[in-house]
Amino acid sequence: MAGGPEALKAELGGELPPGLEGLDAASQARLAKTLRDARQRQQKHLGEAIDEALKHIPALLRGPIRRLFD
Amino acid sequence: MAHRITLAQRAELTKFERLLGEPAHSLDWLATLDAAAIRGLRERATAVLFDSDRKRFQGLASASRLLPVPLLVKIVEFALSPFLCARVAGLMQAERAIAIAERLKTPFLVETTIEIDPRSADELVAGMPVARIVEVAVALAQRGEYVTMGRFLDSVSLDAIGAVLRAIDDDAALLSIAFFAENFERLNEIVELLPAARLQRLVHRSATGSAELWGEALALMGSVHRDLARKLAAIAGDLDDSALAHMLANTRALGCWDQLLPIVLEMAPAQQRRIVQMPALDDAGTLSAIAETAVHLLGAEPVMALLAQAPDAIREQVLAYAVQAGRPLAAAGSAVAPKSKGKQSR
Repeated sequence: MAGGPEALKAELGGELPPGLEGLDAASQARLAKTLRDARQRQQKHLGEAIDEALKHIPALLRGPIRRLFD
Repeated sequence: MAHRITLAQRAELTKFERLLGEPAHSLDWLATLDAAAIRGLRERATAVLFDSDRKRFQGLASASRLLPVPLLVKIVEFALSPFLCARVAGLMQAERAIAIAERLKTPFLVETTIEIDPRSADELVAGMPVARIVEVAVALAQRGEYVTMGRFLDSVSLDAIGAVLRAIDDDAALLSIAFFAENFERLNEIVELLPAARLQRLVHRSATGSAELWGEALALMGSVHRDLARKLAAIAGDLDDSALAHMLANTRALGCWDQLLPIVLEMAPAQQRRIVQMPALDDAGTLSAIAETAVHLLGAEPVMALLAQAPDAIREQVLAYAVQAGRPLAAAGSAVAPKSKGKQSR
């Protein structure tokens, strides 16, 4: 699998937490992918939630309120 | 050989699966990590997931200060999902977020509670009126949101927890909530709140329920201080034969002799005698597992105290295993040797 320790560090925002040094390369890559998938799902959910929220806002105000989310 | 997932690992894996939105048991492959490492991983992932979009919500949290709370509540319920509300609430001043939460409709507040950043929830939850906490807790329990509830045990006052315990009659739910506690010290305080009759009911319910529920009870008994563990062990030791047999069958299904035997050791001798003489223990696989646990985990003296009360079959198996393992059991001056004549009567 692509990735390995650097990909996992990137997904965890820095050095690995204690205890993860023992994970083999395949597990580290798998964990990196699992975290990446969760983050991307969250981003998608967030985008959908914001779009849905803006539908309830009068059109004139949507632009300024969308900018609050940027 | 497959690595048996311990109760502590199971709790941490379930919490991690919930955080990532992964199906139950989908992260069992992480069981090569111990429970503490899984917890550390979850805490780091929590920070990444909640902090990655912080700036997007800060603007809205700041803008919300301009509006009066009643209007804000209407806007929140009309326009925002609980997911968005939770993200913004986590960045607001606690006092303001509490004022909003007090006015939100209960179903919306329940959904928001599930989504809120656990790191910012402490102050919010601590400031909520007890009646509101009970309302939300009852709704969460009805939905089986035990991971969420376990997370807040530290944040909620003991007064509020006491009120919640009185409001939630479902003993299985209480055990599941305790299973997902973040801080085991807190469990001591909570168990102390339960009247004796409720504790007895809890132990009976767990011993006669599913293996999973019994596992949660074992985890609780293994987490509390010794005095409380002894109290719970005494209650378990007084169960009738049918309940005890069910308890032992559940322990066998879980492979958790390492959790049960220390509890048996806390029981009175008469209770220990009943357990070691239960027919449920009388099969080769069970005796091997018990022998392995007894020899490697418990030490010679407590094992021998139990063995002295056990039928020949159990004693022989444990002693033989100990010899094979290179750890023959014999206290100074009082070795417990296999009996050569007849069986002990039960």
